Amino acid sequence: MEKILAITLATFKESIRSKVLYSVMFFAAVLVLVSTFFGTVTIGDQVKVIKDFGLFSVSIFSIAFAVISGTTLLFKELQRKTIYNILSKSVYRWQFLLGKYFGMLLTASTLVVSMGLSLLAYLWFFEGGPDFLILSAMFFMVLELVIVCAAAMLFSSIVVTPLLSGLFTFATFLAGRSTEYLLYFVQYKEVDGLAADLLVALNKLLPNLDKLNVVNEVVYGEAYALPVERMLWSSVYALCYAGVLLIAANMIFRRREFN
Amino acid sequence: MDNRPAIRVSNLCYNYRSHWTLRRSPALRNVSFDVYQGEAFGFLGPNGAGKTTTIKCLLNLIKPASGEILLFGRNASEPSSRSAIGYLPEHPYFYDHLTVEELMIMYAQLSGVSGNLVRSAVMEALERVGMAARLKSRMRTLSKGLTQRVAMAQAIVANPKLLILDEPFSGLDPVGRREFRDLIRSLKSAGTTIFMSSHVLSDVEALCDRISIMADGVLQGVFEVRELPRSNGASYELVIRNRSSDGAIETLAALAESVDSLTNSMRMIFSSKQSAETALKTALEKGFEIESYQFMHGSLEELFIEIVSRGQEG
Repeated sequence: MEKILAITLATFKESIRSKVLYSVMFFAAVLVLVSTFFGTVTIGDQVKVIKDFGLFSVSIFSIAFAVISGTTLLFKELQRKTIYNILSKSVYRWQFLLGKYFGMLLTASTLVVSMGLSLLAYLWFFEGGPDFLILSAMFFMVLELVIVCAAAMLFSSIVVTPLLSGLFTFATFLAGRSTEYLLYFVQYKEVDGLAADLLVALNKLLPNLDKLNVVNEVVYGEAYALPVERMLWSSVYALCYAGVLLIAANMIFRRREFN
Repeated sequence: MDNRPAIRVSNLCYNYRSHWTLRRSPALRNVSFDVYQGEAFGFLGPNGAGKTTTIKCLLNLIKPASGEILLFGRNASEPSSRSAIGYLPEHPYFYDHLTVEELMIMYAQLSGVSGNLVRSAVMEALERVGMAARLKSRMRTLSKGLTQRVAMAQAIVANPKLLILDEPFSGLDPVGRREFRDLIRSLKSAGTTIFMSSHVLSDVEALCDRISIMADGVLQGVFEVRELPRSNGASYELVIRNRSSDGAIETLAALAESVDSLTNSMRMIFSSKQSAETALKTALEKGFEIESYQFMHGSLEELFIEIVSRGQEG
C-alpha cells in the first residue's frame, strides 16, 4: 500500500504542476465568464445559463484533462524511461499501474473540485445563496472520471502512441455518454435482428456514462438534492467498471517488455 | 569477497523481434556468469554488445527467451528478488516538476525504507553524492551531472546489497568522476556488490576485481583485473625524432615489435626490456633526439580491443 501511495503522490505532484492543468482551468474559467454574457442576452433565467455552461465546462475540461494526461502518462514513462527506475525496485507492475491511476484520478478530481467550488462561489454571487446541488454534480463528475481514467490506463497499456490511446479513450467517453441512444434504435424498431442484438450488447458493454451525467437534473430539476441511494449505486457501478478495466490493463501491462 | 553469488546468470538468451516482420534477431546468446557477493564486477563491451539488454533481464524489464537469472538465490522475475538492489540507469531521467527531496522520498519508499527512517535515509544518500544542498531544487533545473548524482543517490538510498550501475560516470566532470569512484570504493569496502557497465575502461580497471567482455551478444570471457598485465603483456615505448641516418633507423626498427611513423617522429614498441634498452642505447649513440621512453602496462583497453575484434570476427 505504501508503494502505491508513493507513486500516487509523485504522479499527483507532477501533474498538478504541469502547464496542461492550468491551461484547462483557464479555458474553463473563460467559458464560465462568457456564459455570464450569454445569460444577459438570453430569454430566461441567467443563473440557469451560467450553471449549465459552468457545469458543462467543468465536466468537459476535466474529461479532456483526464484523456490528455492519462494517455500521455504511460507513454512519457516509457519514452523517458522513468519507469525503469521504479520497476527496478521491488515493485509489482500492478502497484505501478494503480499508483499512476490513483495519481491521475486525484489530479483530475482536484480539477473538478477547484473548478466546481469556483462555480459555486460565482453562482452564490448571482443567487444570493449557495446551490449545493452543484456539489452533487461534482460528485457524479468524479465518478465519471473514475471510469474514464481507468479506460485511459487500459488503452495506454495496449497502444503505444498517445494519440491513438487518447482517441480510443475519448471515443469510449462519447460512446458511454450515448448508450441510451443505442436503445432508442432498438425500441423504435429502426434496426432488428443481429444489428439490434449488437446494439443491446454494446449498451451493456459500454460504460453507462449517461446515468452519471446529472447536469440537466441539477440545472433544470426541482429537487434540492439527488437521492443518496442513487449516489451509492452509481459509485458501486463506477468502481466495479473501473476495476474491470484496470484488471484488463494489468493483464496487458504485466507482459509488456521495456526495450 | 564471498564465494556465494549475488548474481547467477545461466545460459541467458534474448531475441529482439521486429514489430513488422516478426523476425527474431538474437541479442544475447547463452550468456552465463556469476558475480560474487562483495566483489566489483565490470561488465564491458562495445555499443550493441548486449550489456544493457542483460541488465534489463536482470531487472525483469524484459523477459529472456531462455535461461535463468538468480539474484541472491531468488528468481529475478520475482519483485522480492530486487529488494536488495540499487540501480543507476544509463541516461537517467526523472520527473521534471518534482523536487530532489520529493523524488528521493518516493524512491526511498519504493525501496522499502520504513516510514520513520525515510528522511534520514534520503539525507544520508544525498550527502554521499554531494546533493544535500539541492534538496528543494526541481529536477528540471538540474544539469546532467547533477541529475547523475541524484540517480546515484536514489540507487543507494536503501543501502542495497547489490548495486547495478549502467554507465555511472556519464555526464560527470572530473571532480564528479573522482567523487563517484571514491563512493563506489567505499560502498565496496562496506560489503556492497558492484555490477558496473561502463565505457570508461580506466575507471573499470581501477575499481573492479573482475571484468567480463561481451561482443555481439556473446560473453567472450571473464578476467581477473590484477592478472591483466600478465595476460596481456607489458611493453616499452620509444619515440625518436626523425633524422636521416645511415641505416640506423632500420637497425632500431628491426628490434621493435611495431613501428609507427608520426609527423616528425617515429614511435617504436618493444616487447622486452632488453631489446628496448638496446634500441635506446643505439639511438643515443647515433645521435637521435629522444622524445620519450616509457614502460607501458598491458592495459585493459588493449585486451578489450583484442577480444572484441576477435569476437566480432568469430
